[in-house]
Amino acid sequence: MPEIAVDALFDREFLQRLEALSLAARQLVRGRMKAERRSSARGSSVEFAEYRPFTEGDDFRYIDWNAFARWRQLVLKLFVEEEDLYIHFLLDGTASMDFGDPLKFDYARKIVAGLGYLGLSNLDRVSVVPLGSEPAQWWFPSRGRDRFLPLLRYLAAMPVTGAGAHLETATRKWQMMKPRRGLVVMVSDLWGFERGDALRAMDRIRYGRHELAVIQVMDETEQSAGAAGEYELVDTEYGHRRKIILDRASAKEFDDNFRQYQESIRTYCRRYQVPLLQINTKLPIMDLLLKSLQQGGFVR
Amino acid sequence: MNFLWPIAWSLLGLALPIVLFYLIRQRLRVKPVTTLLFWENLAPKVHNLPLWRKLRRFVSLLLQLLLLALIIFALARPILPGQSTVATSVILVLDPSVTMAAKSGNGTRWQDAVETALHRVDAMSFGDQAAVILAGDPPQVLSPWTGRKGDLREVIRAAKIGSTVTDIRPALRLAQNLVLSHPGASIELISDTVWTVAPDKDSLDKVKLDLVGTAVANSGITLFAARPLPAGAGEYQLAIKLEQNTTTPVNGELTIQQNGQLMDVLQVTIPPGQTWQKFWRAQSMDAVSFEATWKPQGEDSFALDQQASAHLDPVRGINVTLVSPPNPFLEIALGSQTLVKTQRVWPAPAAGDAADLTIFNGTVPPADWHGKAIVLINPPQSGFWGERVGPIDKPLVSEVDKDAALMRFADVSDVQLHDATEFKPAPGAHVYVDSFGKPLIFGHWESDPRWVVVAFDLDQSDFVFRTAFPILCANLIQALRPDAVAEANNVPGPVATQLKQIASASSAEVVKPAPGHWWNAIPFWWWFALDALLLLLIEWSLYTRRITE
Repeated sequence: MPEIAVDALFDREFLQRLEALSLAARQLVRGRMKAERRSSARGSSVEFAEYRPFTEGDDFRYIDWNAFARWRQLVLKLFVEEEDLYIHFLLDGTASMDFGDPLKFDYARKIVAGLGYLGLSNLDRVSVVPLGSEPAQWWFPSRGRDRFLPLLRYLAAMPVTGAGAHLETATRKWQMMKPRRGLVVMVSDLWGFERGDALRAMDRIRYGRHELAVIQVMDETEQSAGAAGEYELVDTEYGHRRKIILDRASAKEFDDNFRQYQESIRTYCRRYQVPLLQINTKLPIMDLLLKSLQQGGFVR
Repeated sequence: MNFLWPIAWSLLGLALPIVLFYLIRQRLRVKPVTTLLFWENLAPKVHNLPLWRKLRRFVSLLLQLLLLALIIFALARPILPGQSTVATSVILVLDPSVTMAAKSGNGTRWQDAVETALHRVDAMSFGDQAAVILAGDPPQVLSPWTGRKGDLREVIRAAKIGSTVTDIRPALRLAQNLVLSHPGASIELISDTVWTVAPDKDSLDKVKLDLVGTAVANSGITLFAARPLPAGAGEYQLAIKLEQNTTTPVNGELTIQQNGQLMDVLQVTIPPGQTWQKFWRAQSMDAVSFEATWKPQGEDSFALDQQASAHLDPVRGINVTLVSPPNPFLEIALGSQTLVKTQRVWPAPAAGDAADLTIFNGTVPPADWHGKAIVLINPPQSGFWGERVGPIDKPLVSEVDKDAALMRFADVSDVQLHDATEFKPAPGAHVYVDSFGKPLIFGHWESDPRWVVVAFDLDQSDFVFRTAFPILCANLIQALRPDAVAEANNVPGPVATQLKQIASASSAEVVKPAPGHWWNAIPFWWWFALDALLLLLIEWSLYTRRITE
């Protein structure tokens, strides 16, 4: 895939609308997710959390002497430990994303750019991890709106990282880097090596104690079998070939298979309370971002 | 087998792209997909095809080639054995007889005839020519020789049915003459063959007869006429005649109206093979219109003979100029006639006058006389009426033409004549009364120019004392009044009412008219092409969509 200039992929109008979206995001997120970013750890911020009886080994500097004077009991005054939120965007860069009109990969990159902008604006630490067969350079966690332009350049230069990738394997490789726990937004078509591949990849993320959100990106033509005829199907990702006669019966069977797979994804996400958006690339990107804000779970 | 357009076989070259197309279609179309997850376990797969399914494709190819051959075969316009390969010419003779208005199926015979003619035109091939003649006397050439189907259709559709029974002979003679300009041309006569006179066999030589209509039951008015009677001014007779063509009696109701008011209603039974007729006699000085309506019981296929009309003009006044010394007999006899205005002058005017009748008594008209009708009583000299020979010795009435309208009811056989003059009548004159070969009353009174010579002196006979005298005067006057007879075409006539088809298969080659379906005009080889094309499309659709697999 040719390298795309920043301006070509993320034009001025897109960026202007992102700014407007970030304002909407503040209202939406603030109202609904108050206090969700506080860490369970107690730390040294100025915000009081609770009292705890003093035990041996505790730092006596945290003893609340006023409370001792009142209760005659040594208690520690605990404060909320505020910490940065890490948002990891796992961007599917496998060959299957290099398909459709517009390309699913371009659409996915815009999603990451949009959500990334919201995260950076919120002073979250945003990282982007390409999922592919080839090791690719990450976008290491960064914070602040001034990092948005480099993020765009990174995304614009991001290639599709070849064929034959397993989602689970790519996810495992990322986890081996021991990323900080946080919100993981997986942007992928979820077409794995086989049916369980995508689910296992999501399992791995959940097992790593990350919060997971999934955006499944599809092209419209992938959702139906297409015109009847005799075809040799070529899997663009794995290179597998299959000769097939496409008639009404086989088209119906395709529809059934597709529906079952999608349902399995939905069932999984419902079971584990994973926010999920299944969309096709015909949906305007801003509508999608707004939808992700309304549904919740994709940004904080 | 011959072909009119053999070059069409060069289109067999189209088989090559079909084979190539087939081979291309044999190759699977490559369809890139992002995943095969949903294509797994789909049946059938190409590599699992049984042998018959693989053969199916070869059969499909063979079928397509066969269908292509069929289409080309049709385009090549095959000629079956016995069919002519040269262009044909045909003269279509349409019979517009009034009887073509008779019912035939859901329409009329005329509609059938027009449809038949249109089918003949539709069946014309490239290079064929046709001419269209509308029968009648004289016949009318609706279209000269032409190969333009549109023009032919237009004139055929524009042709109108007539009001009388056709005499077909002039049209056939004209058609035979047209054949001379197109050797090998055929004549096609489209008619119900109800004709006034049957054409002879020579006229029907090489004539194909498209017989339209079948024998149908009919009854109707064959005569309805009103005529003035010579008995008196304004007296008239109304006559009606009904006929039928079945073998059983036909009952019906006959209604007569006079000037729009009911005059008579009759329950009539027309015996088979006979006519039913009735007369009415009345008097009217004014114009009179009569309407007759015949309503038969049961089926009747020809409506045009169920109504008729007649008309009588009003009695017209007659101006008579009597050129005579005073003659009370003549003046009284003329003056007593109804609606007669008499004027006596003496001597004769120089240049004639506008009177309807001028009577010269004992004198003759001037040389440049231009009156309408002249009666010369005892003319003293010769003239256009004849040559004066001399006196007749002891004249006696020996012979009277009682059949002449002039002498109707005028008995002059006992008239005593003291003297008379012998004339040698002019050629064309009719002798009404003579005396042993010598004319006493002669002339030309049946039609214009009317003139009569009375070759004896009224004063020297007792004729003026006889009743025959005023009757003769009345006959003279009545003859000058126009005949107010019924219009000639108010009923089609007995030939039409009988609907007797006089031509048969023995007199001409009878061709049954083609059923009125448009597809009869399509050549059979076009059916080949249409069928082949349809099958080709179906086969292509089935093959492409793999429905049959």
